[in-house]
Parts: sequence; structure tokens; C-alpha cells
Amino acid sequence: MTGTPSVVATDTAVRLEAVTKTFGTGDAAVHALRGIDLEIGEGQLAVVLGPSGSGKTTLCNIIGGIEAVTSGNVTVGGESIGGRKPADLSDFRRAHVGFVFQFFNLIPTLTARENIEIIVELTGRGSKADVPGLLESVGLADKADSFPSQLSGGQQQRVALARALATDPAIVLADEPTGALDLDTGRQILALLQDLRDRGRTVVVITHNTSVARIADRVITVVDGRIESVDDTTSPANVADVTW
Amino acid sequence: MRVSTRKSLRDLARQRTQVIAVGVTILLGVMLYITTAGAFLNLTDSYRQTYDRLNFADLVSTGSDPQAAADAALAAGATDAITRIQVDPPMRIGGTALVGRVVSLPDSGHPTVNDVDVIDGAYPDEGATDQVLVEKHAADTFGLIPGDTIEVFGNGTWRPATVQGIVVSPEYIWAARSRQEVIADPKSFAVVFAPESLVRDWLGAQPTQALVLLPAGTDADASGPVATAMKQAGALDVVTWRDQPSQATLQEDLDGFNQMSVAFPLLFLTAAGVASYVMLARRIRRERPIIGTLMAAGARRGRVLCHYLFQGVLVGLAGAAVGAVLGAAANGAVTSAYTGALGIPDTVVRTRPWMLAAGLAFGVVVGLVGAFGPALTASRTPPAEAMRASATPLTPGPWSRFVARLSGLPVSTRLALRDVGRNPRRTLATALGGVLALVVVIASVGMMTSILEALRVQYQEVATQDATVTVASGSIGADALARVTGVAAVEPTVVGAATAVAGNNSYATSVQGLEQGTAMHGFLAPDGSTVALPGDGVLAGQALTDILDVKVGDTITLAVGGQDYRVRLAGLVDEPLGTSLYATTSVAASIVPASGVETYLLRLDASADRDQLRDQITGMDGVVAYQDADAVVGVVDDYLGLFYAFIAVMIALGSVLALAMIYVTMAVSVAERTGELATLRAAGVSVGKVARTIATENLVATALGIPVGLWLGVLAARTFLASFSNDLFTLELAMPWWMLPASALGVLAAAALSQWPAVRAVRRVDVATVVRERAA
Repeated sequence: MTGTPSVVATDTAVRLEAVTKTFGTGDAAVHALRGIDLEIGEGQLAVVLGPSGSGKTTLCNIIGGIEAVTSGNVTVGGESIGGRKPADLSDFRRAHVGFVFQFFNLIPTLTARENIEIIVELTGRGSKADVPGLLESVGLADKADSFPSQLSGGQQQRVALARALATDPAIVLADEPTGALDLDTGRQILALLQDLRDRGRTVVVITHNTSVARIADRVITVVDGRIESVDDTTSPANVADVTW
Repeated sequence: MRVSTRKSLRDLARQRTQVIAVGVTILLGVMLYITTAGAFLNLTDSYRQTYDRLNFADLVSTGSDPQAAADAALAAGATDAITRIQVDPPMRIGGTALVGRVVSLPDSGHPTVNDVDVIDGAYPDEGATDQVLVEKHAADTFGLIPGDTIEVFGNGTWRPATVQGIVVSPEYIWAARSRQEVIADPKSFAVVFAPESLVRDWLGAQPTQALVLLPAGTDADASGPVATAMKQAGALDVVTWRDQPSQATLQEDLDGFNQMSVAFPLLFLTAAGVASYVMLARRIRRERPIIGTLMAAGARRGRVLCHYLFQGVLVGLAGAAVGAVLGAAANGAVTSAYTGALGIPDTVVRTRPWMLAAGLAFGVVVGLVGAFGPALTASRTPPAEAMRASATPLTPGPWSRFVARLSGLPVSTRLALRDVGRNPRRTLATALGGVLALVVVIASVGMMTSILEALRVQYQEVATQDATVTVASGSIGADALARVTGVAAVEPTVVGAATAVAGNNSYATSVQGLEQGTAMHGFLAPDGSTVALPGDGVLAGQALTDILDVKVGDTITLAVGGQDYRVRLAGLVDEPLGTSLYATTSVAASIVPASGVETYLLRLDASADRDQLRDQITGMDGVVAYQDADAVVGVVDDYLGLFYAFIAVMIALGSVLALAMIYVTMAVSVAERTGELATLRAAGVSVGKVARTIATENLVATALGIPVGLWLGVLAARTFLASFSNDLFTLELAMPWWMLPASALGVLAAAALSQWPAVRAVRRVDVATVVRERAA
């Protein structure tokens, strides 16, 4: 299915209905999202693609409960989060969403293991006993006691990915996860994201890199605050075939 | 250990020099608190222990029938009341003539009120006819030991007496003849205790005082039921233990200690709180992307808040713990130094657990207060911050935009000026460091210079005589004294004790008569002008108008020796020491009863050998006392020795405070712009140029605080001095013209000095690493 701005999937993980987001007021108002209707199915790997300033990061923030909508409805993991207060959104994120950011944002004074454990401590979700397994799942079992400064960029992003899974979220949102990485390490991260999808999690990747979109089950192209197209595929590309 | 705790410890370790600077400031604040507040309580306990041990009188009355007053006191509820004789006869001790004091003891046993503690020798034997006890200060001054002989003038002849023992008395811990004479030539006063029968035999005197002990826990009140009963029984004046000359003088000192134990620690802890705020705010600002990540993951705001509050508490607690230990150790040393210097008989040194706990609590509070703002900011970090590569750049304000238009200035200067307004809170903290340092320095030094100026005014403009000579009536006159080589001028004077009364108010003071055109005393009016001695009426210290609630032109009553005299208050004088009444010699002579002695004021030639003159004049027949004004100043200097040491310590600590505060803000200043500095370095800008830019900014920020610091410093000094002022001391702020500029320059120098670590930081910036990090 190609070129349809509104897509309905079975077992919906994310549903946006007539969502708008405006920053500022009056003449200074910036309309970041202008009526978005969107669904992402459970267990899908969706890529939100768009040029800089298109509104894709705003879309990611709204799905992740980081920002509130100006109007419209948002349902994630079966919960409507449209009109929630910041504290409620925090509860929502804790229960449903894991984030991976472009700049890793690891705490430099904590080891890889501790960077994950602190999420368990500060959120009260998950278990420190699961942390070794998480590190193993991203291939860093032997780097558990390394500090971020002792890790490569790709390794740091893998730690960040393991950290995103510490609260066992159903949805993982990754904002430009390969933006700060070279091709090889970028591929490693994409492979891990695919692996997450394969294990049943819903993964949403925000990127401006069209090559990355090749690994997606669903590609949502955003331009100027509107969904320009939604492309589904049943045979996403192998990570090894992706290049940029 | 929790991961968040480990993070806190490692975060603080990464900022260790700043943490140490903040910690040291907290340490100093807590140490000062425990040292000074502990010493204050120790000294209070030391006095109390002496008073309790020696049954210091709660009330002392003078009047025509002390026995009646004592009986009335017992009937009104006093637990003990005794009478005794107290007279001030001429004495000769080791060739020095003086007007001393003889105090009677019971013929057998120790007095049950105002006992003495024999510290050398023995108590007089029962029935002995020439054994006396000498108070410790006199013994020290004259080098007396048991077995020495002194002479007391009584009934027209000199009476030899043997020193049986040296004693400490609760009445003379500070040896003062009266509240008007708390500072005097030590060779002009000596207290001798002798059995009552001996005193009667020597001086023919009857009991003059009633001494009263009140039940434990009863507050001594001059208008309470016991005092009232004593007055109704004929007591002329009832003085509580608090107003007793020695106690009142020592309490003045203690009160000053008490105020400093609050004010100076407060300054240091405030500075530490601000430095802690700056340090944490900077790091939290730097960590915003990380905190945003935590918030995006659903971290609970309360836990994030607690995490950063904990860091503030850790620094506060660590500094306070060391400060508490050092303070507890210094507390004992300061107490012992103080009691040793003043000769306080008992030294009580206690480490009070509650005070240590309070010190720790102060550290925790400072840590919490300093960390609260940044921690709150951290807990409110929007999760979207996680998506930014680094902390959001500060938006240029009006100041930055204004400076940007100053195109005539070099860009490096504009950069420095712009940065002053770039982070107003950090600029404010830098300025505050200078402000607090100035307050500490000006308040400390201002007190010292003001006291020195008060002494200069007192002894060079007010009491301008070089010596005071007391002679037996009819022995030698002014002419004989004037003929002594080295004596430039002689004037007679009349001095006597009096109680000034107006309505229900009274004040025990002294009356001094002087020649109407005297050259031995200057009369300074409250407005700074000089006034002449009136032909009739009296001049009075201005404190008297408040105490008696009278004004110039009113008539007041002078009670002297059971007689009342009504005199007109002709004018007011403003003198640093004492609140005496002044009149012409003829007016004073009509009030003060003849005492068998005459007093002369002497002006000496500038080149005179003062010691030789003292010996020569005291060797003249008829001379019974000689007081050298220089010796009085010497006493004050000795007394101020501890105070000078305190001032030196405060200046040193003020410098540490300035260095610590300014260092923290400088370090933050450098850390906030590591990338900017690295870029400049990468572009080939020299370390010196970069350092100068930063130094310019920081010195400008420090300079901004200087006017406020000078103003607050002067205000603090005035407030401290006002707290010391009372009816006996009038202290006004006096500073040499150069003091404020010198203080300002000193703080700027401290700021410049604390650039050094910042310059080193600039030198250590790894250009490649920083650029690489920012590229990532």
C-alpha cells in the first residue's frame, strides 16, 4: 500500500487521529504538525522519514508522551494520552516507552551496567537482575564495567538501547539512532532494532536517512507537518544491504 | 550502594576542586560556629562555676545601715545575707603609692557570700592582727607573694600588713574599682582582704555593704521584692550581680563573642550556599540532555530532585563534619586561651553534642538550600532536552546586545563584557563572593580601627592629662608638684562617687570637678563640637539622658553619702569611655565629701622619663597614688591582644572565603565555555589572551559587587559597634580614609589570585578532545 496518508493496522500499538501541534501563538506560531492520522501496528518496525524541520521529531515526541498535542487524539499501547498532564505522561512513558537518542546521553560517571541500573532505580520499574541479560542482548556483556569514555560510539549507542529496554517497554522510539555513527556501527544498531521487532516489540525510528527506511515494515514520510505517504512492505531489506 | 549514590560520589569527585572550595567554606562556617558559640558557652559556664563555687552575691547594697538591709533581705526571702566593710584607703605596695581597696572578711572562717579562693599561701589565722589577703591582679602587678609586706593608710598613719595569701575573688575577675573605672592603670588599684576587726582597727570604719544570696533559680532584680525590702530598710543603692563592675565588663566581652558566633558563621555559610548553588547549577545545566533522557524514560521527578539534593547534602555534611571536629578542638583551645588571658579562675571546657549536631545540621541545611534550586530545575527538565547535543545556549539578553554594538572595543573585551551578563546568576555569585569577603574584612577591621580611634579620642582629646596624683590633704599642693622637673602643668581636680537620680530612675556614676578653663580635659558635644565647662550645673555623658529620661536644662538629684544635691543638667558630652558627670571644682567640692585626699592632674613634658617621674613623685611625702595615662593604654592594649588575634583570623578567613567563592565561580566560568575556549585555542589564540579575557570578565563581576560590599561592610561594622555600645562605651565607626579602597583592592587581588586555577584549566583544555566531543 503506497501513498495513503491514513493507514489502519490490526493490533494497533500507536494511533493518532487529527493530531495537530503548534508552538507559540499569533504571528510567531509554528505549526509543526497539521492534522496527522496514523496507525502503527504492534510488532511493527516503523520508520518516520522526513527532512529537517518536517515535524518528524515532534511526531516522535507526541507518540512517546514527551509533548502534548494541541488537538487530536493519541492512543499508545491502548492508552489515550491526548490530554494528559506532564506527571501522567511520565507514568505513561515509564510503563510503555523506551527511548534511544542520537547523542546516546550516557552518564559519564557511571559504567555501562550502572547506566542501565539507574533507570531501574529512578523509575522503580524493571529489575537490576535483568541488566546483565540486557547488556548481553546488545553484545556488550564484556563491557558491563566500562565507562562511556572507554566505549566506541556504536557501543555507547548499544548501551543506550539496552537502557531503553530496562523498563521492558512495549514500544521503543529511536530518534536518529544512527545519526552520530558510521556505517558499520550504524548497521549494528539497526540490526538490534530489527531484532527487537522480531521479538515482538513495536519500534519507531525517526530519521532523515532514506537508507535506514529500507529496514522498516512501514515507512511514514512527513513533510511540512503532514504525512506525505505511508509505505508498507512485507519484505524489509536486510541490514547488511543498507548503506549510506 | 545504590547506583544513584555512586553517581553522586563520582560526580562530586569530578568537580573535586570546586567541591573542596565549597566544602572548605562550609567547614569554616561550622568551625567558627562551634568554636565561638562553644567558647561563649564555656566562658559563661566558667564564670558561673566560679560564681557558684564562691557564692557570688546576687545583690549588693550600700547605705547607712547595712545590717538593717541584710535583715530585710532575709525577711523577704534571701537565703543568706551578710554585711562587710569596704573602703578605699591609700596604700603603699613595693614603693608604689595608690588608692587601693580594703574589703573585710569575717574574723573567723570564710564569708558565706563573696568568698575568696586562696591560690597561694593561706587564709589569715584566726586572731591575727596583721595578716591580709591580696587579690591576684594586684599580686601579679606588684609581684607580691605570701610573706611580703604592704602598707595601708588609716587613722593618720601607715599600717604595715603581711601578705598571708593570694586570692581570687568573684568580684574582681576583672579588677575594676567601679563601673566608671573599668580600665585603669593596674598600679593605681589593689584589693586587699582583711579580717573585719583589723579593718575596724585600721580605718575605724563600720560595715558599708550588705551582700545577699537569693534562692537558687531566682532572677536577681534590682526592683524585685528582696531589693525593694532592702531599699525600704535604708539601702541607698542595690546592685545586682549582673551590674557588678567585673561581671558587667566581662559580659560586654561575652556578648560580643556571642554575636560573632552567629554573624560570622552565617556569612560563611551563606557564601557556601551560594557557591554550592553555582557549582550544582552549572553541572545540572551541563547534564540537561542526560536528565532529559532519564525523564523520557519515566524517571520520577521526586527521585531526580532527591538525587541532586543528596549531592548538596553530601558536600554540606562532609564540610560540616570536618568543621565540627576542628571546631570542637579549637573550642577548648580558644576557651583556655581566653580564660588564661583574663585570669578567669575556673575553665570549663565542654564539647556539647547538640552543638556538634547543630553544626552538622547547618551543613545539611546549607547543602539543601544551595542544591534546592538546581535540583528543582533538574526535576523539571523537559524530556525533549534529551534530543539536544548539549545544553541549550543561553539567549543573549539586552546587555549582550548592547555590548555587541560597542564596535569600538576589541572583540576580546566585548566578549569579556558580554559574558558578565551571559549568566547573571554566576555573575551575581562572583560579585557576592566579593561582597561577603568585604563584609568580613570591613566589619573586623572596622571594629579594630574604631576601638583604636575611641582610645585615641579618650586619651588625646578628652582625658588629656598624662598622670593623676592623689595626695593626703594638707600635705603637698599643686606648687610642689609643678616644681618637679618634667611636669609641665598641674591642675586640681575633685572626684567622688555619686548616684544620679531623676524620678524613679537612678544611675551610679562619678562626679569630677575641673578648673573651668581646664587644659586637662576636652568636652566633646554629641554633635562633634567642643563645649565649655559651665559655671554652675553639670555636664553629663549623653547616655545618662536615656537612662534617667532627662534633657538638658532639667534638674537631677545627686545622692552622695546619704545627702541629696540638686543640680542642673547644663549640657551633654559624648565621650568614648564612661558616663561621668563634670562640674567646676567648686561645684564638685560642694557635692563630694572631703575624703582626706586631694587629687591633681598633671601634664608632663614630652621628653620626660615617665617611669622616673612616677618614682620621683610617688616618693614625695604625702603622695598616696599615681596613675599614668600611658599605663591605662597599655592595659587596653593587653586586653585587646586577643581581639587583635581574632581580627587577624577573621581577615585570613575572609580571604579564604573570597578565594573559595571566586574560585568556584571562575571554575564554572571556564567549564561552561570549554568548547568556546577550545575553539579560540584551535584558532591560534594564546593561553594568555584567553586567560585575560576570562580574568577581565571575572574581575568586572567582582568589581560590580564592591560598592555593595563596601556599603554592607560599613553597615555590619556599625551594627557590631552599636551592639557593643552602652552606658560605659560609646563606639562609633572610625576608619582611616584608605581602608575602604584598600579593602576593595584586597578583594580584587584575591579575585585575581583565584584566576590561577582557571588559567591552568585553560592551559589544560585538550583542544582536540573538546572539538571531537562537540562534533559527536
